[in-house]
Amino acid sequence: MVALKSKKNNRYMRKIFEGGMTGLLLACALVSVLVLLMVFMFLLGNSLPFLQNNDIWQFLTGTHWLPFGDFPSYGILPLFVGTLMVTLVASLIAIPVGLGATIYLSEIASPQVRNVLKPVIEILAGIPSVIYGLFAALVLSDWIMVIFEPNTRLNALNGALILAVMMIPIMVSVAEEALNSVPRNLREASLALGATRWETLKMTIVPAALPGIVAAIILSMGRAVGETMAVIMATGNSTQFTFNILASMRPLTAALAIDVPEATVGSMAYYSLFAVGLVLFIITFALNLVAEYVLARFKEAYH
Amino acid sequence: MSDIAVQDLNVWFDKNHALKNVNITVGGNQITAIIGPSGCGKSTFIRCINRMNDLIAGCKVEGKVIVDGKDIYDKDVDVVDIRKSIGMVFQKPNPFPKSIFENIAYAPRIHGVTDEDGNVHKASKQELAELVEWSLKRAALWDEVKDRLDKSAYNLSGGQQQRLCIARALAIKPEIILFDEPCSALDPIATAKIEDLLIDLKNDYTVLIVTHNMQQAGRVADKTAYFYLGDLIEYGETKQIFENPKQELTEQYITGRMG
Repeated sequence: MVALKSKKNNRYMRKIFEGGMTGLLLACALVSVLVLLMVFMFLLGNSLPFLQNNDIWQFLTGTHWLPFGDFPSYGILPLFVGTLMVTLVASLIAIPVGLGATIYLSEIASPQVRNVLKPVIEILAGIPSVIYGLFAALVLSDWIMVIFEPNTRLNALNGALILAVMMIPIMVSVAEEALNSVPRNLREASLALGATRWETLKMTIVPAALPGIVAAIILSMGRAVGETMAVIMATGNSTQFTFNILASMRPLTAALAIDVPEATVGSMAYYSLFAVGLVLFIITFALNLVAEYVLARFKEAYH
Repeated sequence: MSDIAVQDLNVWFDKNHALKNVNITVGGNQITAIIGPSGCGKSTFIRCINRMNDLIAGCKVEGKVIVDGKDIYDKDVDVVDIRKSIGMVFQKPNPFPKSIFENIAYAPRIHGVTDEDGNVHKASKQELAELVEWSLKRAALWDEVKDRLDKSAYNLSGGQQQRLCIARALAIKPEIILFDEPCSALDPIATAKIEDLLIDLKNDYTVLIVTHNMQQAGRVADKTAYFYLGDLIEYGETKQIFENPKQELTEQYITGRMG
């Protein structure tokens, strides 16, 4: 009788414990969703005073970003173009290099080489961005001066190059995952038909992993759009409206970081910066959504 | 059709001696079944014949596999040429994530096609279409898929996928086809279709089949080889192996006392 009773008790306790754990873990998951919502509400709420009192079209297409002073102008186009130019040029460099590195790592490198290269690339992802910024400002800028002779030592190209270096590790780790998840038996099928390793790579593995590769590219672009410290230190931060890659530019993130400390709390300039933050949030959010969508379709293909 | 003569074949995976001094001659226009319990080396053996074991790190092969008078492990042999002339069908159907047509056209697109004079040229659209139709008909799949060649191969049933993989192997115009447990993932009806196909194929090809299923070996094979722990224990007419095995080990396996 005693034994039975304690067993019953045990079961009861276990139920409580399991229920408690489930609830705890659910709470953890909810916290992250809640934080996302709160960030969005915080941005939206604080941008509203600006968005209600200013022409949104003017905000998005104006070419002068002068939030302070007697005659402020809140056009974010120069900032947006700054982000765009830096991200696009960085992507143009990072995509071929990153994908080349991925294919080498996952398909060609011997296990010994891979065991050295993979951790090195992962360490690259862990270096604080301020270190990259420092390198760009002090070393990379010198090289660019010698090669392209720009008018300003710090310029968009400088930022783009350092962003490219920062994009590569993310791209490599996500894209490598995609290549590795192509079932082994597809490789065997292709090789058994007399295809060479290259033909197998080109005709079977890369097409099968393409959605994962695209997601890797988009995620790393999101990283480039959101990066702040390195671009502040590298691009020179001029708010001029230009498409010249050798000119100094101020991307959206840099504008936020530079101008927020200057703005009086509750002023129009202060609220305008939240609107800039909202734009940035929407861009990165959209990029992540696209990446998620592409990856989800990829998973369907094999299950 | 090609005979395959295997001489003193030894295979190691690192320290594991997976095949030990195997000597066997497989004749053309017949089906040879390779049977034996798990881990006996039967898959390793069949993968030696198109050098698929080359892909496995730590694998070492010694001995000769002579196809058409040529040792395929000779130094001057290109492994790609070997695989071009030997078809292989795997345990689990493994179509490419492409259309039915593109699955069959995969190898001809890479290798081109050979004309009557033996010259290889790039396959034209017309030639590809003819080859795809011929391969699918030969694999008894044409009637089921002829109206949806542009649809994904993943929409086919498991049995249809496996026949697609057979058609894909036929499209390289091999003389030898290797089947590595082709029915282990299929239901009995799909299995029966594949077995009918195997018997039909032996008129034109040298067919080797690894199987877990002794009844299957009994149904389709002309000759049967029994492997145990990396040794070829017994090889002979299927009827003799099943009804009158000469070796004690074979008898134990056949009668279900082992494996």
